[in-house]
Amino acid sequence: MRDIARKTIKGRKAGFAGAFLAVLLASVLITALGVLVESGLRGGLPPQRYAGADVVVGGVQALPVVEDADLSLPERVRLPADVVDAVAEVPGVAEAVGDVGVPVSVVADGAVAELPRPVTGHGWSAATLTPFTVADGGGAPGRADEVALEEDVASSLGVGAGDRIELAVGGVASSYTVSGVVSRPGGGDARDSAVFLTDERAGDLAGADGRWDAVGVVAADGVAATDLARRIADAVPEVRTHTGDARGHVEFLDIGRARGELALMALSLAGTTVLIAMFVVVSTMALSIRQRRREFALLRAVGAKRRQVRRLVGTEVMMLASTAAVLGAVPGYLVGIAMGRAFAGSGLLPADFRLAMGPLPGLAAIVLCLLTARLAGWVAARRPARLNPVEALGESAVEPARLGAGRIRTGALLLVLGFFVSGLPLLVPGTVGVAGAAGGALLLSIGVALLGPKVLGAAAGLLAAPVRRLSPSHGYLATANLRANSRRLAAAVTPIVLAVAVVSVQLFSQSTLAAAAGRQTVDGVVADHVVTGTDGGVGAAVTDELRRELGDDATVTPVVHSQVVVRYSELGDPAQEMFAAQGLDPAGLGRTLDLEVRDGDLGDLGEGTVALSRTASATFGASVGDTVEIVLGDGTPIEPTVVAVYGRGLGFGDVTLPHDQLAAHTTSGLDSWVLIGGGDSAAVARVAAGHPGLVAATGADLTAAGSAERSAESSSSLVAILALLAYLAVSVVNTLVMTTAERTREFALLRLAGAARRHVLAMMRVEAAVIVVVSIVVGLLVALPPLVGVSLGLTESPLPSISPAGLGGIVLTTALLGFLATGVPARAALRQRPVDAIGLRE
Amino acid sequence: MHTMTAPAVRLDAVTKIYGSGENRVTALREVGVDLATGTFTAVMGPSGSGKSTFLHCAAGLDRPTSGSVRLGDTELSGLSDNALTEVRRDRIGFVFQAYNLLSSLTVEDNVSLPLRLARRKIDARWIARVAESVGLGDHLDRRPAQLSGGQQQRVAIARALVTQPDAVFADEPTGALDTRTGRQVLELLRSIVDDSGQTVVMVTHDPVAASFADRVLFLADGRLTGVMDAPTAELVAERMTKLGAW
Ligand SMILES: Nc1ncnc2c1ncn2[C@@H]1O[C@H](COP(=O)(O)OP(=O)(O)OP(=O)(O)O)[C@@H](O)[C@H]1O
Ligand SMILES: [Mg+2]
Repeated sequence: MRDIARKTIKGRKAGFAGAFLAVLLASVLITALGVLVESGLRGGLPPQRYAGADVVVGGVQALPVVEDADLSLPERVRLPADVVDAVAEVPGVAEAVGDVGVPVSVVADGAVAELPRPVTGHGWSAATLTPFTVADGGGAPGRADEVALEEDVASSLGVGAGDRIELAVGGVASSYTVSGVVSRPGGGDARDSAVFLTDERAGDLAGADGRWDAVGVVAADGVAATDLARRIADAVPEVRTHTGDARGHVEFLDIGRARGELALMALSLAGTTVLIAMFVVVSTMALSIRQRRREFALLRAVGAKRRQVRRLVGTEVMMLASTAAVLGAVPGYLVGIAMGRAFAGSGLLPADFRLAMGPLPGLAAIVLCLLTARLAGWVAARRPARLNPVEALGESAVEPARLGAGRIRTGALLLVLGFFVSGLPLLVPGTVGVAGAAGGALLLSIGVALLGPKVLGAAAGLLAAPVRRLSPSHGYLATANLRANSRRLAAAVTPIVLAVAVVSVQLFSQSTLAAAAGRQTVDGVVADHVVTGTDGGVGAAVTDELRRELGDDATVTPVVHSQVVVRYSELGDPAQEMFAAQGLDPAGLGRTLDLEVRDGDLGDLGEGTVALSRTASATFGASVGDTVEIVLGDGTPIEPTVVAVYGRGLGFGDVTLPHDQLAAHTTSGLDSWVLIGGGDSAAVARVAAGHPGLVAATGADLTAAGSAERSAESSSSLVAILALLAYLAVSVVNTLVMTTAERTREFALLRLAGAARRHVLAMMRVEAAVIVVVSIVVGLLVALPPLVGVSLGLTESPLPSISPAGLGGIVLTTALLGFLATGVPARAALRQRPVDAIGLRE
Repeated sequence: MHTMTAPAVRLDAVTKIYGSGENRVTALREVGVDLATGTFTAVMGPSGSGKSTFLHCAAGLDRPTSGSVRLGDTELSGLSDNALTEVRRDRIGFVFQAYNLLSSLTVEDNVSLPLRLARRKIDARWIARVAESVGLGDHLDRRPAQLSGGQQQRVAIARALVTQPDAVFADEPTGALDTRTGRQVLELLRSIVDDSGQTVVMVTHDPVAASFADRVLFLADGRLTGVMDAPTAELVAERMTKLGAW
């Protein structure tokens, strides 16, 4: 059998090319996603400012696993003040230094100076962790109003020791005397420029309350870093130690978050991709097997048992797949890198994020592809094994359009299931329902694929009359072909339907979400003025000043934003998920923010309470009076009671907590917006102008800022589905080429019967047009129920917002692919002389 | 008549019905016949009279709707698909009118295919001898696409013979060939019967081809309507004209 399989593959290279390509591309894509998943777990950035520390001690920056991935906490988990001493006492520690960082804006002439890199302030002791050295003629900052600047900052500003400069945090500026200029060894590649204050001053500005972001450790001579790390972890509770490149995880908080997001996005995409790859490989295999119907019938006639036919197909498939999978893994790494770049471009990853490159993604892709191929072979072999040798040997190679009862039943079941899942938001409110509805597209497409020939036969029948009226001669042949070969048509149409449906659902649930969120923000902000910070946020001192200046007839509502983790039970299983949170005080809220309260009273929001969005409330199953388990951004658990449920969660965040409570558990403690209801606009503008980096605007301008963030988010998920789309597009082209190329003989026959080349091409164009129209219509129909479901779940309205540009893009791309992929191989097939083509032996 | 030896193939009241409802076609009606071991039988009749159906049922390629088919001592109608496949593989050779060969395999591989499927040891000398006997000894390494139609048909015969089957069935083996190559194929079939005592059953439209047989069966409208022993081309042609007139 192996022998026959090998020879068959060698002898029919062209026939196997399509299936080979399908597996190869699946391998490419799975490897690429694997690289991203692995990078989500291990990638990052080697330390820069901590390069001189052997061990870096940080807080427990992630929540332990509940389902599949550690949840990385969004705010810095700081270490208590005494940890530095505790670490210093561990044997083998030469020096232990606490570090705290705060983003600062350097102010020149009353405005924020444009510098090549963002600037972070630190305590002077932390300078040894790099280590920074002071240039001649300067010294360390000794007083609270002294600062040492890194070389590039000093030279950009043109200042040196003894000059005075201003630094602002959250718009609150103070002036400092430059005590000296410092530089790091090797100059080097750094994402931030550092400025050094006294330890105490740095802690105050960061709002650290004596706590530390991290403790850097220099090991005594001859002590290995990893040993020391282990001993520190044993001796000091509630800390995590990091050595080598992992020190970067502590230094760059955003890298940890990016890793988490990358892993999540890549994993969820990998799930869909594996499913789709399986589908594509199975259908391509089935197609290439179907084209060899007569061959299998002959084998059966001369004495091959069913089992032998199955084994032959299985062996062929495995031989093909193993080569294709291995060949695909290599370019897969390159595609992974390209996708990583694209993620960085869309803002999901920091630009300097380094991907982890190991052998694992490639191996996983190969194993997955082989499993998929095994399955594909098994499915594809069922038909030839069941062939009646006599029937199949009949003159015509056209297959009866009969579908197995099992296939029809499975297809119908999937359709029913798909509709049910699409309607899930009606039954199961919250994120589960929405996620389920989005998944409905896949079920429906596969259902349609299984019922394909039936559905398409019906569709082609509907189109037959108008097509014939439009194009009497070619239309007649084309529709006759489509009807007689509904299976071939189905093979061509199903991948397009899948592509159109999946892309539509992805694209339009994003646009529905964005539109709903935008609308909510516009409707929700009733404030007359808004003050925002261009650099990090707005300090509490600014709010105080606004209150003082505007007096009692204005309401000033500072809003702090963070993310919190909520633990709840999802269909009986414990789950934890990150939700956007805002902190605000309810006093006078009616003049600044309308969250559209549905239940309870937002006025009751105070210590120990929380307000939830409609979606969040439904997801957690928590109504007014219930308690929810929340972990704040820095890991602090709370259990507040729900006092209100509101409607505008998409625009403002799903969880609303008291302002001071939430602010105390963010890294910077700064507000992102200060909303002002009433008051004199000149006064507002005056206050803003007095604070470098702050901007006063109206509520309408706020919307723009919010939607920019959302579009960054949706563009990165677009990048993700783009890869999937490319795969689908290739498989669409693949099947169309395969189904057209197999018709060489038929074309030859037509030409011998007197049809000119252009007649045949015209007939193919009509066929392609029918294929394109049918697939787009069916694909959009398949996408509709899930989209309505998603829309209902997210916005309570059954009308998804569909962007005309997106729709146009989908239609145009599909049409272009469809016409090219049938036209080009048809032309190639027609290039042969008909007499030669007709003689082509089976 | 060959009454001395037990029949190689015996059909008893074989009826074959295709389809159901208004598409129902009765291709064979109660056909009963004994085909003696070591004889060459030709099956003739107008187009659509059920010749191919007869051959398929007799060769175990298809199952009759009712009636029994025996190959030697084996009753075929009761066999499982696997057992029937084994019978086809080991005891029956079949030659179709066209599309007989796997295009990606060489002549040698095509000929030895039934042996491979049976997992029998492949004796290269035996394959060569079988190929030699059909006059293709020099073409063992060629692919079907590199052979003429007559040569392809002879490869198919070689494959049918390679397992030394009890019976060889051929459906219009010369239908696509010119007179000269057709004659070579017919002589080959004749020699199988004469030299190794195997049983050959052949469907044909050509009275000259039928004259190579020991006996001709006439089918019309699914019924066995006549038998002619020691046929000549003239007698057969005459009979056929009558059949057509009926
Ligand atoms: N698979 C099938 N389904 C339905 N009817 C069939 C099938 N195969 C054959 N028939 C019908 O059975 C009858 C006998 O067919 P068969 O192929 O045995 O004729 P034949 O004598 O071999 O004709 P020819 O000389 O043209 O080859 C015909 O009427 C044919 O239409
Ligand atoms: Mg026939």
